[in-house]
Amino acid sequence: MNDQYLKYDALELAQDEAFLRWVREEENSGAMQWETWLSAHPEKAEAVAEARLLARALIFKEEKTSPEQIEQLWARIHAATPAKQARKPLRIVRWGSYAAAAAIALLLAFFFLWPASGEPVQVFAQNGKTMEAELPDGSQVWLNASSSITYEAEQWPENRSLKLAGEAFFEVRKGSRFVVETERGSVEVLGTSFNVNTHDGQFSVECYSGRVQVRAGQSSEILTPGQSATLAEGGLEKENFEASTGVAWRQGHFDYENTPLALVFAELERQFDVSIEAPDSIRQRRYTGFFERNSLDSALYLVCWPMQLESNMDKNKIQIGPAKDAGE
Amino acid sequence: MEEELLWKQLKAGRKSALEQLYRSHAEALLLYGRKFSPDGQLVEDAVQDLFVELWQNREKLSQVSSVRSYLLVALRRRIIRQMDRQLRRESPEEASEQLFEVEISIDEQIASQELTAEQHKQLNQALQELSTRQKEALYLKYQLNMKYEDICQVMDINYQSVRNLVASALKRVKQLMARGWWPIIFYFLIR
Repeated sequence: MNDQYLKYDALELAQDEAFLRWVREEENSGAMQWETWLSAHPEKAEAVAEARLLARALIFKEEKTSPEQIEQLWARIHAATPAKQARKPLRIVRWGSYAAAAAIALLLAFFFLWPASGEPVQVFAQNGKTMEAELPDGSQVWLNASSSITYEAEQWPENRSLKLAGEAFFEVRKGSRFVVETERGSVEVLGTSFNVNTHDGQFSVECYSGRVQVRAGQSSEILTPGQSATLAEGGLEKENFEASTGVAWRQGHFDYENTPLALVFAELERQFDVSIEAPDSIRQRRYTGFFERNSLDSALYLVCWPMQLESNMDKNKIQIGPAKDAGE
Repeated sequence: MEEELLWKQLKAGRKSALEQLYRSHAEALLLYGRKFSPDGQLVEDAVQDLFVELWQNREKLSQVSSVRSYLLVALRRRIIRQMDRQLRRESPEEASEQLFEVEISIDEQIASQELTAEQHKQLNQALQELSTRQKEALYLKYQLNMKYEDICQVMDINYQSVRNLVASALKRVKQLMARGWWPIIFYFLIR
């Protein structure tokens, strides 16, 4: 349980998304943790009770819709959105545009990607950008910010192997061995989806479907969906994670649990293409929480506020220091 | 993840994706729409047009971070535009004022603890004193359980403004509760 809640009053609790999930008795809302936390901090009982009442009082009167109304409205929409007739003429147009797109892509490939016999193809997502790329066999790669893959297009049919720097999510078509090599370890699969992160000296692999073999130095692990492997000093460490929600970074969501702020800052720098300055004493502190890619302001707020930090931005430079007015 | 997939399928022209999206969002859209206009027919028409247009323009759809907020924004614009048009036709000299009408319903649990009619009235009064924007922010956050980031999109204001709107509105409601609501708070305390 996060210690930031000790500083929350009823108003702040009533606005907190995790708190609301618990009060509304949603599934996986961590009710156990909340109750343990509450019994360990009886002084928060009053604030919790007040916040609970606030959240429960804010239920608005709705004129219920009836199933018939929903059905009738769908019937009208259905009638107004013909799927087949409209698509036939459209399909010709679409094939036409596909052909044009394919021609342009070929042309571009010819100029930019055509390997001058054996020259590798590199796909790069710069700071502040993510990128989706298709490999020659139709496998998909989503590159997180400041990440790249390199592979030999000519040899791809015989040798599905690429080098990764940074972080990427892979959806691999079934076929021969598919290998991702990184500085600190490699991942080997047949057909599956998985995420590899090598940013900031890490090496961690999450398996979302199929089976994944991870190798680093002497150690090797086989992962099934919902399992991850992270390279630590003693070799690879296997853990379970929540795979059903998908790879958070692809949805622009970055979750942290007891993570050194240095790593959080590094991700902020990559996602928003900024540079962050902060003293080492702050970089070593640990953060539990999240931020999202849609706004730098909100991301800084979500990271700084619970840690009682303050950020000052000048162009692309951000300075982070202790908050002067910690009472806010 | 699932919504993302449906959105992709919709773009690829799969009609079943349109239907699934409709079924999972229709109710929220109809209820939200009614807060802007008491005219149920106008709201239904707006929802219909929204989905028909979604289908017609499916190939041009861009990726969205939240399907629900995309749909809510689109509906909101549509209804306000439509109401503006109607108003201009009927009384061209009057400036249109945007509404967001909500009323608190008594939560069954609180009601069972004998929330007096008086307290219920007070709560609704406090609500009516709030600005249109504050009411809308509260509705999106507490009724539709939306995240701040998505509320920003729907209301077209920045993150800090949404937080301020919610915080100030909540403060007002809490002030009211501080007066004479202790028995109910006590009920939650011992629960």
